[in-house]
Amino acid sequence: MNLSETGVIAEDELLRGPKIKYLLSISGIFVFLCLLLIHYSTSLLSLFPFENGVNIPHYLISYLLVLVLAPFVVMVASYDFISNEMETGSIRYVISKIDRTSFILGKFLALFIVFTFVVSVIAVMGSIYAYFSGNALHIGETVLFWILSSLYLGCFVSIFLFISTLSENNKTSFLMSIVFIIILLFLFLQGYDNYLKYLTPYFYGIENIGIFRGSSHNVEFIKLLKNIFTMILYTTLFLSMSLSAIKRRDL
Amino acid sequence: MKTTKVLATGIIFGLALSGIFSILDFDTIYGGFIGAILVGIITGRLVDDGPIRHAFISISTYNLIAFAMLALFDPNAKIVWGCGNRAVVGVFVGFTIIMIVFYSIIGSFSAFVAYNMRSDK
Repeated sequence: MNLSETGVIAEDELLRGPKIKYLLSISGIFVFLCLLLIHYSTSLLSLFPFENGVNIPHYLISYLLVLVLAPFVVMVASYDFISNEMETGSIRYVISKIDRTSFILGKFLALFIVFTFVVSVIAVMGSIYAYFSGNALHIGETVLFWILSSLYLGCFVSIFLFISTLSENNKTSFLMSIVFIIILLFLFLQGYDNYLKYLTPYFYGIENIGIFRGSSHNVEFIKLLKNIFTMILYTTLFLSMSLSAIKRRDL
Repeated sequence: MKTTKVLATGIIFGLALSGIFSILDFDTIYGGFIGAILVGIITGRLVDDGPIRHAFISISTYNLIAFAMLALFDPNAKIVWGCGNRAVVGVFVGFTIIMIVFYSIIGSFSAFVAYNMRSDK
């Protein structure tokens, strides 16, 4: 692995890649949805055990939207990130010049930077909105939202990159990405009372909701660290599998 | 390997796994999940072309046979058939179909991964 090559691939995808406009438009729609939901959140008040007259914090609403909708946004944005290059054959020109590990890591880094940026935009705009609505700024919780959401999205980026690496064309990649999301939902719903739930990133994401519902003084740090560690492990596992898959492929 | 041999291997291996899990009194969801993944991996390793299709057919067939045997020979199945209520039978059949489809999807995905991770493809 060469770090400068990884940086070149990531920079190329972010600044000169043909997909960056598409990525930014999808992300823009997602940010707009988050802000819309924060604005109209009063109708959701009955779902949560908050006292009367207290608004739902913006980071909790954004986090719920990240949990539910962001995996689909990541899927739409990243399912053809590698399979498209395989389908058109353009991967051969890149792979002949740089290491395959750097190629995959560069692609991952580009997507991860985009989604981390999206999450930071949501966090900042949510805070600004909350401040001008007369609410207090919750800097600690907002930073926690940014870290946890980025890690959660990192898991899905690595999953869809892995599927894209395995697929020979965009159609297969899209189909398999949908299949994998269905499998994850099935495991999460069916396995909620047994160990199957630990196989899905949804579980680690949903476990963190409790942190946002209480005050920052009541955060269970062991649980938080365990969830963060597991999400990093999940991402690393799928990235390693992507590297293993691309090294075995005859391109 | 030939298509018929791959399908037969998948079905026999799946039925054997179902039998073992049943004897060991394994949880149905765990057993079905692990069985689907294993049959998918075997199908993906053996098949020459179309791993998803082959895995889907193998897994749905062995699950259909396993659930039919369960419905016919398991003493507890008499509760479903004996109560004479269409709704109970409908729920059982519906549950069976949903589980078969989900296990087939899981197995197809594992066959897809196993096929594409092969070094001798």
